Amino acid sequence: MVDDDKDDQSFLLEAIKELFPSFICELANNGKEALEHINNNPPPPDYIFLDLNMPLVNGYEFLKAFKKDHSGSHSKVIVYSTSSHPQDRAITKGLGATEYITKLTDFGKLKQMLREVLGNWGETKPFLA
Amino acid sequence: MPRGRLSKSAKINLTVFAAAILILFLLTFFSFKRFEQQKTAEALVTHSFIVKLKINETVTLLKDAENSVRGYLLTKDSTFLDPYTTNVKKIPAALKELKTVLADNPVQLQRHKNLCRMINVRLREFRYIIKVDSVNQQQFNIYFRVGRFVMNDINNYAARMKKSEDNLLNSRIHGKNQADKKTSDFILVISILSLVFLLFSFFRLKRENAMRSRAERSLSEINATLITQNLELEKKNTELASFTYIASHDLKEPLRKIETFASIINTNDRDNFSEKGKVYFDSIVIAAQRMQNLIDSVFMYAKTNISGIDLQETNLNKVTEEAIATLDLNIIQKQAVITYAGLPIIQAIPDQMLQVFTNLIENAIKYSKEGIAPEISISASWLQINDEDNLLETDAWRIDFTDNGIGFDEQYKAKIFHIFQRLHAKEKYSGTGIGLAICKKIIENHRGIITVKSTEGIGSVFSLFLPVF
Repeated sequence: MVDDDKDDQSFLLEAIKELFPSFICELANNGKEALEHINNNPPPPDYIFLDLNMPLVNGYEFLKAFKKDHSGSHSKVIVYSTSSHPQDRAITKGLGATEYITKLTDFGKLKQMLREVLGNWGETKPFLA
Repeated sequence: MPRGRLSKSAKINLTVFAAAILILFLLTFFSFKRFEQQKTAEALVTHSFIVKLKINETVTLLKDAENSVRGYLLTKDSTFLDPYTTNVKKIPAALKELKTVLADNPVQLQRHKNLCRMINVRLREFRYIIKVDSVNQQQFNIYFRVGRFVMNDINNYAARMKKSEDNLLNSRIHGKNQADKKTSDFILVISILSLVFLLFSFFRLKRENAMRSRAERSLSEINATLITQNLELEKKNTELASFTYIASHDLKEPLRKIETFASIINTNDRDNFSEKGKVYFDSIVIAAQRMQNLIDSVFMYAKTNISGIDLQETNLNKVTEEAIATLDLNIIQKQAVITYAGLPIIQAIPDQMLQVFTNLIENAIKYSKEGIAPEISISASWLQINDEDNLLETDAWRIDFTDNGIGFDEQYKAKIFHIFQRLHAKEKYSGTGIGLAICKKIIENHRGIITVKSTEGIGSVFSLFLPVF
C-alpha cells in the first residue's frame, strides 16, 4: 500500500483485513520508500495499491520506475486515488496500471470494489503490499 | 453632440476664418485695381507727351519753312526753297496726326482748327511771296514784320495748346493720385483687418488645440487607469478562482475522511452505540454530507465567474434534453412530466446554460405539491426592443419555466436569488440554497435578467430574458 496519507492506509487495511484476513499487508509512505522496499524484499508483491499524489516520488514516477526494474513480474498495480479525471485513468493505464479505483467514502462500497478486483484470489494467496 | 451641429466655438472659428479669407480676396482685388490704375496713369502721361511732341513737330516744320522762304527771298537761290517744298507737304500730314491724337479733347480740337487756319494763312503768304517776281523793299519789310507777328501768334497758340495739355494732364494725375491714395488707404485698412482676423483666428485655434490636447491627455490618463484597473480586476478574479478551487479542494479532503471513517464505524460498530449515540452519530454524518454539498455548490458558483469564455451556438432544445437526462432519477421518482417546444438556438456558454436549466427543472420537481405529479412546461417567445414586456434594452428571447408546484409568497422573490437563502427548512426540502443564485449569476454573465412570478398553492413561472445582439 503506497500512500502518504495514514488515514487512507487505515481504510484500505481495515477493508482488506475484513475481506481477506490471510493477506500480508505492507505500507510505504511514498514511491521512493515503496521502490526501496520492493527491491530489498523480492519477489515483488502480488498487488500494489498506489496513490498518485505523494511527495518525493509520486504514483506516476513509481509506475515508470517499477515497470523498468520489474518488467517481468506478475504484480498487479491498482491505482487508488481521489482524482476521478479520465485523463489520470488513461495515463496510468498507459504506464502499466491494471486497475483504477477512485477513493470511496462508503465502507461497504469499498469492500464491494475490493471483492471485485481481488475476488479471484480468495484467501489462499499469501502476499499483498 | 448630435450629428451636424457644431459647437458655438467651432462656429465662431469658422466665421472668423471665412472672414479672413474674404478680406484677403478683397485685398487681391484692390491690389489688382491699383495696378490697372497705374497703367492708366502711364498711358495718360505718354499721351500728353505725344500731343506736345506733335505740336512741336508741326510748329518746327513751319519755322523751317519760314526760314527757307526767308533765305530764298534774300538770295533768290532756289536751293533755299527745298526745305520749304518738303515741309509744305509734311505740314498737313503732321496736322492730321495731331488731330488724331487730340481726338478725345473737344476743346483742343477746336484749338487745333484755329491752329490749322493760322498755319494755312501763313502758308498762303509763303506761296504768294515766292511767286512774286520782284519785291520792293517796302513789301519785303511788311512781309517780314507781319510774318514775325503771325509766327509769334502761332507760337503762342501752340504754347497755349501745350499748356492746356499740361493742365489737363496735371488735373488727371491729381485725380488719379486722390484715387490712388483712397485705394492705398483702403488696402492698408483691409490688410490690417485681415491681419487682425487671422491673428484672432490663430489664437482661437491655438486655444482650441490646447483644450483638445488637454482633453486627450486626461482621456488617455483615464484610459490608462481603466486598463490598470481592468488588469487588477482580472488578476483578482483569477486569484479568487484559483483560491476557491484550492480551498474547496483542500476542504473536501478532511470531509472525505469524516465520511469514510463514519462509514466504517457505521458498518462495524453501530450496534455498540447507545440509542442516543446512534441518533447523534447520524446527525454528524448528515451534517458532513451537507458540508460536502455546500462546498460543491460554492465551487460551482465560483466557476461561473470565470470570464473570457466565448459564446457559442447553443440549441436550448438539446440543453433541455440533457438536463432531463441528468435528472432522470428525480423525474422517475416524482413521475414528473416536462414539456418543451420551439426553444431557440442562442449564443451562450453551453455548460452554464445546462446548469441553469438543470437547476430550474430540479427545483420545479423538488418543490412540487405532495401527491401531485409535477408538470413543468418550458416555452420561448421573441420580444422586440420596445415591447412593454421586455425587461431588456435590446431584442430578447424570453424563456419561461412554468410549474404546478407549491409556489411561494411574492414578497420573497428577491430573497430566493441570494446565495444560501432558502424559504424552507432543510429538513423538509433538501438543498443548499445556492441553485438560484448560480442561475442568476449565469444569466447575468449572459447580460440577461431572471425573474419569477408565483402564487402560493398554484405554482411559479421563472422567466429568463436573454438579449440578442
